[in-house]
Amino acid sequence: MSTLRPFRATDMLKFNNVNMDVWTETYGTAFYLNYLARWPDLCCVEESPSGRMMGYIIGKAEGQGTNFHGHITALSIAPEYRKLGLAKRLTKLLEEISDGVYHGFFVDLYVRPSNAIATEMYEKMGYSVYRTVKEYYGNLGPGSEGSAAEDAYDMRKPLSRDPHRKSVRANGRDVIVSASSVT
Amino acid sequence: MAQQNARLQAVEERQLKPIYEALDTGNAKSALTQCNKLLKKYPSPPPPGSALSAPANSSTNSRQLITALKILALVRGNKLDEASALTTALLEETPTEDSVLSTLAHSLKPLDRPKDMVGMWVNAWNRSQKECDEMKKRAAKIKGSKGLLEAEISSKMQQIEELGAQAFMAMVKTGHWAMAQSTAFKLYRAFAPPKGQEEAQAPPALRYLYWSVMASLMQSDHPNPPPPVPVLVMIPPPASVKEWEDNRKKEEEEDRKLLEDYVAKHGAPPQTTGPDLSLSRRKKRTLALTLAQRLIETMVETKEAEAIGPQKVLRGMTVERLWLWGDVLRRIAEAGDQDNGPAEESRWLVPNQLLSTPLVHNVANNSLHLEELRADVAKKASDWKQEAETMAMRLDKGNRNWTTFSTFFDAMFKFFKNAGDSPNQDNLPCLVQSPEPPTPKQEGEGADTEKTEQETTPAPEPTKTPLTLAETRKFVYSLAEKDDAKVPTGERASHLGVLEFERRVRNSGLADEGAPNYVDALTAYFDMFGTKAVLLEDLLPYVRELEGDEKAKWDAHLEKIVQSTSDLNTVQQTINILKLQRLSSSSDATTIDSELQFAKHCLKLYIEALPLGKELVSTELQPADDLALLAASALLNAYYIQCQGQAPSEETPALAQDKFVALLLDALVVLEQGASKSRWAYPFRLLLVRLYRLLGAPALALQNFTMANLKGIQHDTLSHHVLSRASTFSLGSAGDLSLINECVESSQIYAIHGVDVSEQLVKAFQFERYSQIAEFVLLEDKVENSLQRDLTKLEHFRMKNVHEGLTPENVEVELVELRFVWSRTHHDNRDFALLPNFQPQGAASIEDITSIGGRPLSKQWFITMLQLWILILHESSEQLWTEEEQTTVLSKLRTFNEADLQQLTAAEQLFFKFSRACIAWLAPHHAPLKHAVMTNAVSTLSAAKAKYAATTNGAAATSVTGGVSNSKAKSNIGKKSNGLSNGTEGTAASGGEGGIGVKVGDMKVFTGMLTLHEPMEVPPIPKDLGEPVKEPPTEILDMLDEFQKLFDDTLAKPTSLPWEHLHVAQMVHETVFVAHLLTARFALGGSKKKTHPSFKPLRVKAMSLLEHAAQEITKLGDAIDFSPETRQKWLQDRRSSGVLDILPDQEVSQVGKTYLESKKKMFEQLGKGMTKAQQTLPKSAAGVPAGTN
Repeated sequence: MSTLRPFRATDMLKFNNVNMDVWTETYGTAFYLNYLARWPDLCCVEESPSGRMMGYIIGKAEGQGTNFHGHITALSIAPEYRKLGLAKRLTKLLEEISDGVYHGFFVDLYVRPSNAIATEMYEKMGYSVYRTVKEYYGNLGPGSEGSAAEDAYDMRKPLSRDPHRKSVRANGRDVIVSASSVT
Repeated sequence: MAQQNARLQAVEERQLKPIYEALDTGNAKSALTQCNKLLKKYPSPPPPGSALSAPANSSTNSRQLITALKILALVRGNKLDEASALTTALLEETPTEDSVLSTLAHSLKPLDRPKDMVGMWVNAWNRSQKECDEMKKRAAKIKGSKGLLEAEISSKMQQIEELGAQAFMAMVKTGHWAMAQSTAFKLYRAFAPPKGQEEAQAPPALRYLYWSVMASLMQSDHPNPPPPVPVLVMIPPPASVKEWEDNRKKEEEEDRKLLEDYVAKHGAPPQTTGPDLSLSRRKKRTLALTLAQRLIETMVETKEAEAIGPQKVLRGMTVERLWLWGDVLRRIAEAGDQDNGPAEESRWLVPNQLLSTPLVHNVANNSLHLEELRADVAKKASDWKQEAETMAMRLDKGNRNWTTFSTFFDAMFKFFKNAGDSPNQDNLPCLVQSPEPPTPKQEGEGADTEKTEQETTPAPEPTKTPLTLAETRKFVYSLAEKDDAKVPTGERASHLGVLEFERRVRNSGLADEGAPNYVDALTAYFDMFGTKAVLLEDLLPYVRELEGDEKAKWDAHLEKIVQSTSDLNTVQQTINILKLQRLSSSSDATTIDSELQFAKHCLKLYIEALPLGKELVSTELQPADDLALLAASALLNAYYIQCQGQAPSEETPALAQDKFVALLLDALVVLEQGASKSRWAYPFRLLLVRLYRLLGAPALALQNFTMANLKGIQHDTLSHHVLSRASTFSLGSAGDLSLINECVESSQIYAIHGVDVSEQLVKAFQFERYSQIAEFVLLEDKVENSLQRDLTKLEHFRMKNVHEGLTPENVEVELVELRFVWSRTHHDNRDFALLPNFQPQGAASIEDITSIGGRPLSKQWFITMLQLWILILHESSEQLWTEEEQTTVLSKLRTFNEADLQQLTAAEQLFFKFSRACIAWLAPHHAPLKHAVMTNAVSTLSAAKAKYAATTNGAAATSVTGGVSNSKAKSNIGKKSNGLSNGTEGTAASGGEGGIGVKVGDMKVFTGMLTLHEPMEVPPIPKDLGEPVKEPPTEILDMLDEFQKLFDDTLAKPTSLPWEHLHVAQMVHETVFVAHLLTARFALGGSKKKTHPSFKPLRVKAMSLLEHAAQEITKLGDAIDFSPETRQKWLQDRRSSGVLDILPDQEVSQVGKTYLESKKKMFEQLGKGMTKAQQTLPKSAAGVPAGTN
């Protein structure tokens, strides 16, 4: 059982059980507040009845013209609450708001190709790789402890404003772009 | 004209670029040179007083911008006096250019001019308005060339609006909410079109009214701006501090009067239910809320909507504006409940009327914020029927949010409770269902399906079923069945809904024949979800309530299941069984033996299950981790039970020391084993941090803590694991700064946090996210006034004292800092929920068992230690507090109660007793000396001022004396604050060449240790002082004997852990330090020192205590080795409980080697540090001013 509720600024004081995770980044305060000050409806928490945070999503809406879209900036579920469909529920909420409130054309996200579990999960939810961004992350994932850069998959899922699925393509993994062209 | 402007701009940009670059790269000197060079090209500024008459032009603007940049360069280059004088001059010109003011804003905080931060925008705003009025007058007179003037006026209007908005934002940043409210309202009046005259699109200026409402709401919580933080240590305190204190006094006075009036009228003080607010605060709150309501209701329009009847909406309605309206009404009801308690539903009718409209219901589908507000208000208004029906409809349509279930049950059981199962069916909430089942696409789980509520299908007629108890049960079960049919992997919420429903039926004592067997329902749930990790949290509350036969039946069910580790699912199921059994058992039935057996069992299963995770990549957690954690928990609990049995009254033979800690060491081995297999599992790391501290190997604790890789705000919530009582583990005395650095590192966030939040707060206003604003301010308050922040500060201070001593300057600075810390209202943000706590019911928590001193540091501990240190510093300082401070502040500082003292360890208590006794002994001696120093400082300052005035025509003298102090003392100010200080950098005293004094103009005048900033009246010597004494009373010397005894006893006691040995040694060191600090102040140094009592006996005795402690600690370190015999013994000991039998020798042995080596190093180094301190301490403890010997 879990309660879906808005992400609040003070949640930063209690999100440790979610963030003490190898794949989850803890950003500076300004980072979270910047999202809350602009897209509070795209930042949500799943909470257990005892008040323990189970996971959260942080997102934004950005882009011009047909590129206007929802973006999943962070999505993380604490280890003990995984495989319960929480990520799916949070993503779905973000998709709905991106669709119904912001009227975006698609939702996208970046993921490390080395994080196979996450990539697979997004694929199950209807996302597909749109392109591979060369050396997007500053280092190889936490497992490697290396300082070399790692690529990112830019994954997308079309929304109702894109009925012809123009925002996705079949061979996205082979479309390679440089990090400087996307930021 | 436009072209010319653009060209000018380009020129200006080219000129300024190198200055910006120099500032960005930290090259203040180069920036300053460039500014001076450029400034020569401009005419000098007009003399003061004439500035306002000079019209601003682009040349003036450029000059002012360069001046603002010069000020910034001066600030960065630590030339604060010059910067401040230049700022005053620039502000007198009342610049109105945005770029000038924004640049200047960066310098105002370091210059300690918080008032100007708001003031300069307001002045610029007023000036622009005046200029605009004049333009309008001129335009009215001139008939020709009107178009040009009109364009100018329009551009001026734009500037006015921009400056007004900036002034508002400056007020928001500094918490001046009342001012912000009226400013926003003025902007609204000036720039928003009158009602009804706006075009179809809502004009942007409407937002000013909503800003004004929001500011008013904030004012209801924060009627006064926060107290000013002294950026410079100033004696007497700067005007802003005095003003704030005067306001506070005024408020206290008003409170007293209001209370008297109330009591006279009602015969007793008011009974309130809410937060403990004073009467004047309540009055202000009501006023602010009423204002907010009045303001927002000017925006209400009534529209005739087609289907939903008359509908009230706001002008330029958005979700956030609607939320704001609802929140204003909610707060008014809430304040009503609190001020005039008890809570009454009637107060909530107004907000509920707004928030229960179809419009709000529709909008709330896409806004969790609005939904949260709506649900809260509906509950307070007891709108149960409506809530029950809404929730039933949502559940029926597939919503599985747990709040939907719990609200549905909350509402339904109001009806069952009152009327049993045969109530008047007309009053019951109904389940409204369309006869045709929704298509599978609409039926999916989650909030999306709620949208179908809006899509009204005209036919056929929906069915209405009154929800009796039986019908509700049918409905709830049908949800679970529907989910089962739909999602094969299983949706838990509806099944838990079934359990929750049955639980509430039982707990309400309702006569009910349709109830299924409760335990069967629980076991069915277990069978369904037993392989999910979340099962424990789902079921535990239900299982813990079982008693008697039901409990037996449940236990039997779990017993029947084979605990297997054959695959991932069975491992998780096994873990769930073990946890459920353990967490629902009672601590009464737990013994050392039963715990050891349990640990052995878990560890065996853990080793068996490890191969399942063999193929996993290193970033994955091992599926069996929790088995190792369960084993470690049981060992820790066994250790705790053993401690309880070791009370002195027990007649059991005391265990030898190595036997006593054996169970902790066993737990250590298990945790190291777990951590080695699952590198990223933080529970192992955190527990290891805590165990290594208990076991006297803090370097390993810090190493494990660093592996957790904390960032940002986590330093605030988690650093307590390694920094609580950090001074116990510091090797600062031996020159090892790792813990001191950890304090600095973990405090970095505080230096930037406040700025970050205020910047984002401005953004939230700009984007009109009203739902966020109060939360942002709350977060800022919690982090700014964090208990951990100041716990770290205090420990940092204590460690630094022993490491590098305390100079006279630092005594003054730290005294002001700690007093400021003391005046805060602290928030405890420490995250205690992170440690795994798999303990039987009634057992001590793992947090307590693994805490230094048996429990986490409390607020009382902190306040006690803080007050004690303020008293010590006060005694060592040269400041003589004003008469008022002596009676109010000092008496509060001296108040300690017995319960608070119990929070201290025995060694800390002795330290406390000793320090207070020394203070009492020395105060009569110190007071006259302080008086003399202060009198001297005041007369020196006056003489210097007079002399300076005579030599320099007097014109500039006063403006320079405002910021006296000399360069070395201020060298900290321009640097980036490290977060440990509250901005109170710099000092009242100083000594570049060992001299101390005041600076007037370019003269330096020596006084005592003290620098005065303004002339002040020297307070009289406190009257109640006794006769000055010469010899230390024998009781003080006896206390040192007592300390030695405590030290020896602690070392000899077999039940004391290594941390206690370190702790008592460090407390000895700190005590000896304080003995020197307090006696050194006037005892050593130059010939000017007055006669002093004989400190020799005390110092000699203190030093011999330190020597003794150093020797003993060194001996303990020397005794540790890891020879083959020790290794053999370690292995033997680890095998004695039988728990670790399954682990190979090599792995057990390695843990011992690493641990013992680290512990040995700790003791040896501490011994060395304390030995070294015997030479350095007499000098380092404030005996002499810095730079002299």
